[in-house]
Amino acid sequence: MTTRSLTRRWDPWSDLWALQDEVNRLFETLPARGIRQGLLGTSYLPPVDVLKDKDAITVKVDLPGMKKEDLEITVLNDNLCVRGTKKLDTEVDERNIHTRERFFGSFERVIGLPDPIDPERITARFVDGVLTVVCPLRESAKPRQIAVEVK
Amino acid sequence: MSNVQKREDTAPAAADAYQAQPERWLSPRALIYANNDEVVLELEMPGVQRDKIEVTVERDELTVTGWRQAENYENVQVLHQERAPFHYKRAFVLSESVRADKISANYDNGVLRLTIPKAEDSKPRRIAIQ
Repeated sequence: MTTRSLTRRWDPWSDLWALQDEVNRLFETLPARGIRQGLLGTSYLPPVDVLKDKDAITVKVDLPGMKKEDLEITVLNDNLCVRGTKKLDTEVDERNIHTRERFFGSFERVIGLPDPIDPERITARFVDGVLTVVCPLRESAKPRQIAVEVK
Repeated sequence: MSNVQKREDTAPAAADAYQAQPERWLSPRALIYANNDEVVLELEMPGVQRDKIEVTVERDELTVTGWRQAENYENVQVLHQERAPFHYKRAFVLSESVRADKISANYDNGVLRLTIPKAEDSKPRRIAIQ
């Protein structure tokens, strides 16, 4: 009975903001520019940021509770695919679970990269549940300054 | 509600750097389970540094706050953004059958795990049959 009484104090606003966030995320990702759900078709879509500077395209993904060894990152035809399986840290008897809002299972997210990148030089870091993948641009895709001689 | 409000006003110094921007608070997703000896709360708070997490207990209310590091997107072109700049906050009411004074916390891979031991008299007991 202990866990039953460990209830959450209801704060309507935090719930509402969280819901709005989820809905926004859903709509943003639907036809999104080059970003789509993977072939697995899971309902879990980890939120993604895609950034570009003059040297690289950087992709950031929130993946709380993932382990580095359960993450798989692949690149094919300028599509970056992040795939993984999120597991419970410890074996928990289903009957002992009181609140389950966290997602566990497999997910896949494919991010279309807008410019050609150099797959050999991709680097990835995973810190505090945030995955950062840096995809250096291919030389041909970098902005070049061309001096034009005025005659 | 007024308690929560009050504590937001007295946020620790660690949060000062982030006060300038408009704040959005999100309730972290939780997994709560219990075993014979303890109650475990797991809260998803990705992108928060360990020293930007605060866990407080005031009477029967356990409050978890996490200030997420603001991303510096000033000199980059943002092609797509779903990771909203928010901080995390959530409060729980503890029952008398747990030892609020013995909570232990660890943060790993973006998940905060709080372990709260059960009070001796609320642990399951095996009764021997004579």
